Amino acid sequence: MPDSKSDLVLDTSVWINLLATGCWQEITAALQCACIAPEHVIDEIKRDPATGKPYARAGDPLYGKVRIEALTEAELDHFIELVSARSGDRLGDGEAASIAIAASRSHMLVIDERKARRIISERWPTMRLMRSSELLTLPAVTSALGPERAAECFQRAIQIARMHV
Amino acid sequence: MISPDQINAEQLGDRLRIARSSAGLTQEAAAAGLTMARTTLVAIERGQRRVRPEELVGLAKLYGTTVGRLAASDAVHVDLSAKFRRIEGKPQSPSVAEAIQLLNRLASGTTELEQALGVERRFDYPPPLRISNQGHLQQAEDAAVALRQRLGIGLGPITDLFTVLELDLGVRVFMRPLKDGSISGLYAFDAAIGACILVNSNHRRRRRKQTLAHEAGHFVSDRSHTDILDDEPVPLTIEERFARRFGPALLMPAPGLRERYEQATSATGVLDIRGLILLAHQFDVTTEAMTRRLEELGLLASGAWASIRDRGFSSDLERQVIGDPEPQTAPPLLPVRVAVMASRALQDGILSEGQLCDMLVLDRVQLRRELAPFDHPEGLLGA
Repeated sequence: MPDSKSDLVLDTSVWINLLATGCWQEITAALQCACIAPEHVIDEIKRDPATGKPYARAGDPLYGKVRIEALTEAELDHFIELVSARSGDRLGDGEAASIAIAASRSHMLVIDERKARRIISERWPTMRLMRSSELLTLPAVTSALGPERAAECFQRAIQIARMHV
Repeated sequence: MISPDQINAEQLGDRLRIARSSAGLTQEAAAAGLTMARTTLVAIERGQRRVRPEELVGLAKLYGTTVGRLAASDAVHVDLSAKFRRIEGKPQSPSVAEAIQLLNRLASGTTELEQALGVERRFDYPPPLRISNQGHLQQAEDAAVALRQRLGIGLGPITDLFTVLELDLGVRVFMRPLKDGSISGLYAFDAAIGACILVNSNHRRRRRKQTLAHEAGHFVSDRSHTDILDDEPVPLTIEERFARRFGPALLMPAPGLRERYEQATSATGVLDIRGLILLAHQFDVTTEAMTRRLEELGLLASGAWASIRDRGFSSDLERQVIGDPEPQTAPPLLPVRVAVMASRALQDGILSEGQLCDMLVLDRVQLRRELAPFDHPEGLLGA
C-alpha cells in the first residue's frame, strides 16, 4: 500500500488497464494519494480501451482529474539516457518519463512492463514498485468499490485491456 | 547508458533533418514552432550545435515522432521521402507525405524489431527486369507467369497475395487505414530495409489485393523505382504501363483465365453478366477488374466494362449471384510474421510495450489488441 505522504507515478501500461475498468476515478480516489501521469504518458493514451475509439486529444479522460507533470531538467537527463540507450536497454518515452520522475522524486512507481521492471531493478534497486493487478486488489480499493465491483473491474482490466497477471 | 552529451551530434542532426522533412515542415516553420532562431535549427541539423534535452523533446513532439526514435544510436533510419521526391519530381500533398512517412516508419521499425530478436530477414527476390520499350506488355504477362512459377502457385486464383509476398518473397507488406481514400498504395525499395509496400486498408479486400498486385509489378520490374498508386493522373512511364499490365496478369494469368473462360462459355458461346460475376469470383477479383482483363485479352469487346457500368451494374447484383464477396472486416494492422515477433519480444522482455508501439506505429490499445491472439505462445500445442 502506498503511504499517504508519497505520490504514485502511473505508467501508460497501468493507465490503459485502469481506463478499461470503467471506474478508474473511484480507484485512484481510494488510494488517498496523488496519482501522477507524466506528460509523455499522456501523449501515449490515444484510444479508449473499451470502445477502441480514438480520444479527441491524447490522454483526454485524465485532464483536470490527475496530476500531469513535466520532467524537470535533471529528470530530462535520465529520460534521454533511457530512450537513447542501445536497444536492449532502451525504453519507450512514457516508460522512461515515468521512471525518471519516480526515481528523482522518490515516488512509488506503478508499472507492469517487464523490460522496464528489469531495467529498474538493475539501476534503481531501491525504487518501490507495484503492478496494476496489485493496485486493483489493494484493501483500500476493494473496500471502496465493494468486493463484487472490485472483481468486476479486475476482470474488465484483463478482458478489455489484456492486463498481465 | 548514454548521457545526453554523448549522443552523436551529426547523426542526431541528420535524423532531425529527415524527421522535419518527413513531417513536411520547413526549417522556418519548425524553428517558429519551438520559438527558436532558424539559424539555431540549421546549426543543430548540421551537427554544429548540440541540441538541448528540452529542445529534443519539443522537436520530437513537433515532428510527430518519439525522442527515442531520434536519439537511439542503433535505431534504423531510412529516408524514403527523398526517394519519392526524386522520382515523382513534384510537390507531395500532405496526405501523400503522411503515407510515405508511415511506410518509412513501418519498414524501419520492423527492421529494428528483427535486429532486436536477431532474426535474419530472408529475401528471395526475383532478379530485376530490364523493361523494353517495345513489347513491355508481353513482358509483363510473362513476368507474372514466371513469378507464379517461382512461387509454385500454378495458374489458378491466389487466395492470399499478402502472405505470399510477405513470407515467400520477403517483401515487407503493410496494411493501414489512410485518411485520403484516393491513395491505394505505395511501393519503395531501400538497400537497408528491402522492398516495402503499404496498402490502404480502408479500401475493400479485392481492391487491396489489386493494389498489391500493381505494386508487385513495380517490385519485379525495377528495384530503384518508387510508386504511389492514387487517383491523381500520372505520366504513363514505361514502369507504370508495365505495372498496370502486370497486376491483372498476376491475379488473372492469361493461360488460366482463357481456360476458365472457355469452360464458362462452352454451352452458350457467350458470357452473360452472371457468368462474368462468377468468373471474377473464381479469381477473387472485382467484376470490373475481370471485365477489363477480358477486354485486354481480346475475349470481350473493348469498352465492355463501360457498357456494363452504363447499364446500371451494381454490387447488389454481385450479392444476388455470389453473396457478399467482401464482408466489412478490417484487416489486421500487423502482418502475422511481425505480430509473432513482436509478441515474442514483449514476452521475453527484449522490447518494451512503448518501444514496440513506436516501432510498429501503433498506440497501446491497438498493440494489445493485435497481440492478443499470440499471448500464449504454447497455444494449443502445449509448451
